[in-house]
Amino acid sequence: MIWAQQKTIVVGFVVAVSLLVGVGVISYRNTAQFIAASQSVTHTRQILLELERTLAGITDAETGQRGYLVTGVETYLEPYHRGVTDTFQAMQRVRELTAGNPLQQKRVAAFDLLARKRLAILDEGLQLRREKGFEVARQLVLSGQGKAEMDAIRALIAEMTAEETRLLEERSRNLRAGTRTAIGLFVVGTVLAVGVLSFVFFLLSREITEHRRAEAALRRQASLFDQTYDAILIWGLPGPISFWNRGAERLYGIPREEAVGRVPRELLQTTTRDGMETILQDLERDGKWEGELEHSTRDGRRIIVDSRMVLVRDPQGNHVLEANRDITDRKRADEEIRELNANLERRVAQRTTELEAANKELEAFTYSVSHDLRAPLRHVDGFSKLLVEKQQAELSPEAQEYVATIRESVLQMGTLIDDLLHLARVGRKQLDVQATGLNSLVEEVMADLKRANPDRLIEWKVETLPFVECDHALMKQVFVNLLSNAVKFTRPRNPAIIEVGATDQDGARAVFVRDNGVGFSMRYVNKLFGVFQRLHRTEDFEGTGVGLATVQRIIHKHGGRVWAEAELDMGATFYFTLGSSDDPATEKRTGSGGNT
Amino acid sequence: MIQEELQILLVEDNPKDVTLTLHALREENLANAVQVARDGEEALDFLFCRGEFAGRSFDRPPELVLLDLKLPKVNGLEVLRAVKGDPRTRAIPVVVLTSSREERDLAESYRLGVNAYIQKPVEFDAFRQAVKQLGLFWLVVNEPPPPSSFRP
Repeated sequence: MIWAQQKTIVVGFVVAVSLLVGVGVISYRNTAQFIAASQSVTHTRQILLELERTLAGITDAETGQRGYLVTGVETYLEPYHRGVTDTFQAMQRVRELTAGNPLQQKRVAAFDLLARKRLAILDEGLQLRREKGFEVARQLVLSGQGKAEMDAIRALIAEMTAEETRLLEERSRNLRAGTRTAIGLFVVGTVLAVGVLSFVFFLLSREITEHRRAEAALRRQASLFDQTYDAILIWGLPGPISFWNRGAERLYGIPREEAVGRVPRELLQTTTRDGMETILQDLERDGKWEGELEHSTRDGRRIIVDSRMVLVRDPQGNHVLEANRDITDRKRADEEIRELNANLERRVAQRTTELEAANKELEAFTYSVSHDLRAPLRHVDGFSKLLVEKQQAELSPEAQEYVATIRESVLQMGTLIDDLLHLARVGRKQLDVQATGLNSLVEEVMADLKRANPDRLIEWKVETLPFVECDHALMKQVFVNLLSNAVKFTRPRNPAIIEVGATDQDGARAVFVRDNGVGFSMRYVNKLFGVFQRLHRTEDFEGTGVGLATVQRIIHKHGGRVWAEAELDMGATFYFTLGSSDDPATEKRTGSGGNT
Repeated sequence: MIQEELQILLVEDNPKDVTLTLHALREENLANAVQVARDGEEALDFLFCRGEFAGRSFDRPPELVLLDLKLPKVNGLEVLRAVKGDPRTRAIPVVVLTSSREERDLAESYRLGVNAYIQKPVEFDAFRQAVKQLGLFWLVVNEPPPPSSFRP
């Protein structure tokens, strides 16, 4: 559209200029013709003048001759001679001036002849006066000799004058006609040229208006671009920056006037993981590119931007519209998080290694303990027993009592070692979790305890207990320890009452074991689950102080909690939960919690 | 029940344990034909008739091996692996008699094909009872493997 308009303007200009040149040429040629015509008019007038002079010369010669004829005074001959000379000179000039006109030349030749004849007659009159005197000469004049020639001359000159006058008129007419045409052409050409120029001017002014409007729109857009926080720049491909918004000024600290005209990658010292060549290839192929760039700001800071480029195709040369957003802080935060994570992982790995090493050491330790610590005890007991058997006769009852004490201590030590090893094993053991009915576990343990204590009167009250996800063997150990404690500490009671049940505790299902035994003071409750901590004297109630520690460890391994409530001489209740593995949905009654 | 030929190979490094074990066996008249090996290497030499026992024959294997696990040079599990891994000795009943009842020892022993596993009780009476019972069981109650079971 604009292109067509521009073509029209150019064509209009060419037409207008051609018209003006044409008008000029016509004017020039007309003027030249005018000058030539003027010259020929002058030429004709000159011829006429010379012809008159010729006539005048002859007349002068005649007058001079008459004077002499009348007076015979020689001085009168002077005009005569001058007239003769003038005549010939004028004739000569006429001949020269009419060189281009054969008709006139012919007339000049005839005139020449007549003039000479007339002058010859005049000269004859002079000769007669000088030789024969006045009267003879007078007779000659009176005879009218030469009058005919003179008339012929006059007629000839008139003829020539008429001819020249006709020529003059003809030329003037031609000149007038040419001038009229020229003026016509000049007027038409000029009017046309003015018309075309006016049209071109109209087109041009319209285009200028459109251009201004487009520029204003661009400026408006540019000011819109300035509203955005992003840095927006336009650069040629290849070529310098042509647009640089306020966002770019803010981001890079480089004012527009410094940025425009520079090549972006030099101005911003661009580096990118992809490489500039890849970006340019992508732009050529897809028309766009997105990615991260690293740029330098004016104060030398390196920043990371999230960049989007669009290729704007244009026959005048492609441009790239680039919009950049500063993501330096975000990247730095990401980097920090990554680093922290890596550090954390390293530390976790390190701690894991340390823990594994510690675990391995502990395992080696317990292995060694289980093998080597028991052997000496066995030997002490074995040889003590052999001593008593072999030397019974020689040993006093007191000595035998000592040996019995030795063997008792040894057995106690053996139990202690077994319990400790068991505790250690619980700590190391991986949980083998499966759905387990707690009632069946309690039944098994109860049966063992009844067998081991046949002479005790114990009233068992077992309620319905839940099914739970737990390690079967470890959970059995919990009941073994809790129920055997209950049996042990109810020894002074007759009957002993041992209850096992479930209750809701803070929204979780808690299992409890309650007895009517000797209990303990709540003052020492915090020591209850500590290893080797005992709240009763060994001579009253045997034990190693490891059982409840083992219970606590097993419950904790299941993510649960264990605690106790008691009163001295009023019995004790032990509670435990199993954390999230508690599942009331599977709770159902399995078998009776029988009393005995 | 007394027999001239070898009945028990006791693999035990600790002389006190040897004394106590022999004492228990003697009470049941089972100690007469006991060969003691003091480490794993000696046990293997004996069982595979080599070294100082090169004169022995595979045709007369012990009727029972009592094997401690914690032994100098070659430990009990390696001895067990060698015995149970060879067709000439595989049929010999092997009973582990050791201080520990660590789960990994138990598991590995059974994996290797042990015939029984007994933890030595600390109390001597219990120990004596255990040795007596296992001796009676393996040497009296149990039907020993026939010679053909030792051929490859």
